[in-house]
Amino acid sequence: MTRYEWERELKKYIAALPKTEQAKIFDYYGEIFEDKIEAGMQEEQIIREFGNPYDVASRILSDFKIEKEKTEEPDLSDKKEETKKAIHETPTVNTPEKKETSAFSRFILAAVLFIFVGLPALAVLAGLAFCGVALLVSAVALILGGIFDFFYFVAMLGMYGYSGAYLAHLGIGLMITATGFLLSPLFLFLTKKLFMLCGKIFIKTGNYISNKRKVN
Amino acid sequence: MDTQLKKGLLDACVLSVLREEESYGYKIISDIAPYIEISESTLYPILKRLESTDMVTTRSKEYNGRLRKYYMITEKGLSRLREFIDDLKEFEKIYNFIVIGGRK
Repeated sequence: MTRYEWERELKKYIAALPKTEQAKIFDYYGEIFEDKIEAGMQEEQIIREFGNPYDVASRILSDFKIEKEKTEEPDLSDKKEETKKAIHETPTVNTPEKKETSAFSRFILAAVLFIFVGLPALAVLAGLAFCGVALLVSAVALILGGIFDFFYFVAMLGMYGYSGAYLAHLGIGLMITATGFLLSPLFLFLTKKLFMLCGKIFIKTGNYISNKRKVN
Repeated sequence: MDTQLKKGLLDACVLSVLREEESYGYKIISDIAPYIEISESTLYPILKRLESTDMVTTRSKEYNGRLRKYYMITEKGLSRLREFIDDLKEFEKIYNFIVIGGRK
């Protein structure tokens, strides 16, 4: 095993430790490595004497755990779990550091997203809400239209006397009103659903965006 | 050797090496190794603990174009070492008792 391989493997096992702690460990072993090279030892032999990275890491981690327990009694469960995990499971691979994007480029990205994604999405939401209102209005219109038709032809009957067509219109007026009443629960239900859908989409999008921000 | 006992002894060995002069990782190991089994991974937590309890202080010094961390004993470290030596005297009596069996 070369020094590079040894260090890479050790890094995997101590990934749960704070970055400053990791740096100290690598400084320590790096310094001794150089001193041993200068003392005339071979790389292979030095690494063999260091011991395998897993054992080295276990020792460091168990020591770190004891120290944590001594210093901060109440909030050790977290770290303990972390260290335990680091000892007993295959170590977690560190996610690469996020590149720092400038505030300006983030602003541009947000603006572009708003224009090309945000605005159309808002338009769709408004359209859905509008459909809901339209459904409600049409139910009311049916009921009112039917009533109007019925009374209009009652008046016509009174003014011009009996006619089959007038009588038929009375029936039609009643039927339309009845249809309006029958349909209104369905329309109301659909309106409610549409509004709730809009609200849900809005909240979900909001959550998504704020989560994204936290990650960044 | 009992691990707790060895831990205490190693602490004292490191302090005793530093009592003579400031030293660095590899040299500390080389100085102690003839007397008690010690490895890099054993020394690391000891140095860390001595540093965090103010028994030693450190400074980085350039050597051969790279940095070396030097450890220096503090007043607190010195008095800890004296305490340990007193403990050892107590220990010597017990040692004699165990080995000789109280026969005198």
